[in-house]
Amino acid sequence: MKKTNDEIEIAIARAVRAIPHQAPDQLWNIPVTQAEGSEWFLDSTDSINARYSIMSMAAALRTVALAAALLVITFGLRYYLRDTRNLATIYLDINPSVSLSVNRNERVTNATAGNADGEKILAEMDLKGTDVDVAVNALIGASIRYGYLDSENAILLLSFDCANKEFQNVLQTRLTMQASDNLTQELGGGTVLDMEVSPDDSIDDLSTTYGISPGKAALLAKIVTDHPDLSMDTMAAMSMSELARYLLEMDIDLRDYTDHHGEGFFEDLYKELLNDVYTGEHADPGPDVPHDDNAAVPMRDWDDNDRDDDRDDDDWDDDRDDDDRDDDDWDDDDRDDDDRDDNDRNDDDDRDDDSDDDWDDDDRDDDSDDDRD
Amino acid sequence: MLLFLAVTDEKTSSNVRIVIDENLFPQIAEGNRDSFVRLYELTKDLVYAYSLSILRNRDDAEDAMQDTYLKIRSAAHLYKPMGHPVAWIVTIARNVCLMQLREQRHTAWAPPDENSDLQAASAGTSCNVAPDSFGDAEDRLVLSKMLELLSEEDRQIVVLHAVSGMKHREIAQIMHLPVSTVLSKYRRSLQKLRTALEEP
Repeated sequence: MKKTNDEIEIAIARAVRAIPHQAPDQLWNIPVTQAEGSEWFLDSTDSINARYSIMSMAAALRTVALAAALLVITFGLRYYLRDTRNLATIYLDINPSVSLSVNRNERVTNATAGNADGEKILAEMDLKGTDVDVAVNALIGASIRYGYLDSENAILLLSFDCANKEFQNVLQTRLTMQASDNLTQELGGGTVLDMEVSPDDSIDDLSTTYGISPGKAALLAKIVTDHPDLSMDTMAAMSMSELARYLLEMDIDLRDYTDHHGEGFFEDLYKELLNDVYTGEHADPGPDVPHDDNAAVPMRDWDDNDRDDDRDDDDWDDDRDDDDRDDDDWDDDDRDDDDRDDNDRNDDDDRDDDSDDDWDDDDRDDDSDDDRD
Repeated sequence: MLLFLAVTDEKTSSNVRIVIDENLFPQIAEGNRDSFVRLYELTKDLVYAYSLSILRNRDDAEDAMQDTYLKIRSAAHLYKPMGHPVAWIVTIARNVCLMQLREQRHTAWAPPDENSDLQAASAGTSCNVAPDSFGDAEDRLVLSKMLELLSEEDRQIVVLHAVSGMKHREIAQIMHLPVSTVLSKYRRSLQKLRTALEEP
């Protein structure tokens, strides 16, 4: 009959268990003498636990010796293989997405495109074996040539995945500064966002689902955590410049989620947004204030901290939240006084000059020679 | 690293591992009959099989088993709870068997047959057990081959592993053998039994 080891053991156990034995009651009823501990039948029982410990220790020592031998063998192999082993992964996201695997000699061991645009710029270069600084500059240069980066869209993301933090810090500091210098030299300015990333299953899932690098996936995941109303779908499809603009319009600044070098992109972006506010479709016309060139300057006392432009008698823009006012009756939230008219005024602590008929308020721009802050 | 891993652990027997509450020993020492019965029922097959593997005679094995439990009763108060109650019991059974061997100088083993097994089981006992409770014929053949073909050490190893579910490391500790020796002997023993059982 053919049997496996398990079947043999089961058969032995079954055969043994089938054999009948004396009932335990009979054994219980036999009188016994209490043992003292030195009896022959107790030989070796005292040292059971000690033997377990000694055997464990001996086994441990043998294990250590074996492990040491294996270390000697593998260390030699590791030394031989060190140049080919990946020590860090760098993700470059502009709209092209490229990942670079880097060894301890800071050479690229592998370059992979994360999207079709990435394939386009990688197609013209073979980065394997290249110094990582050269590789990153080459990718930026190709992105400029293909129009993914220009003076109005001078922003990119560099994400670093490396278990060796010291190695990562050196690479991250140097590469982001060099990339920023590159953007300044080629485009007159720009911003390099950089961050550390430790991809886990959830980040890898996002990366795979949305066709973006783990670096960009990690960034978007952070943003969505803070702003759950934002759509991953929408943001994943955007280039870095589109994403920065989209978020800034909602007062979300990408620089709050990453480190960065170079302010150029965001400075330009803020100017762009401010222009939209004051001149574009979002321009705020201000309160409807009637004026007369020859009329006395309306007696008002107000303090505007939100205005950037100079103002004169005839044309000014008021960003204040104060109510409408006129000569005779007005209410100023910043003043202690309630009512005033031409003839009856009360001074407050902020006023420097005081006369019955005419007064100047440092905060008012009724004199064209005055500058208002 | 695979070599390293292979030494550290192995698959346990497919049989259920015997688990003993160490509190039974002080209870037995205090005269608790139920605790003794409980311990007996949990371990009798192992103690018997182990005794059989050493003595290769059912009557002698039965005697050794009974003597083992009497010794356990007398020494229950000396048991130190350190997590190895089965090893403590098996060590006492081993000492009892070796003493019996020294006294009897008896190692002969009679080939099994259907009737002799039943007669051997009933001889010298007060049990009245029907023949069909003696187990499956094929199982008895495997047990017989094991007792016939394997050396004393190999038999003990196979029985301890098959009946108690002990790990090879625990068996090595009881038998004062290196784990690698126990593993090697176990594998060769099962191979020998497989080969013997496949023969027509």
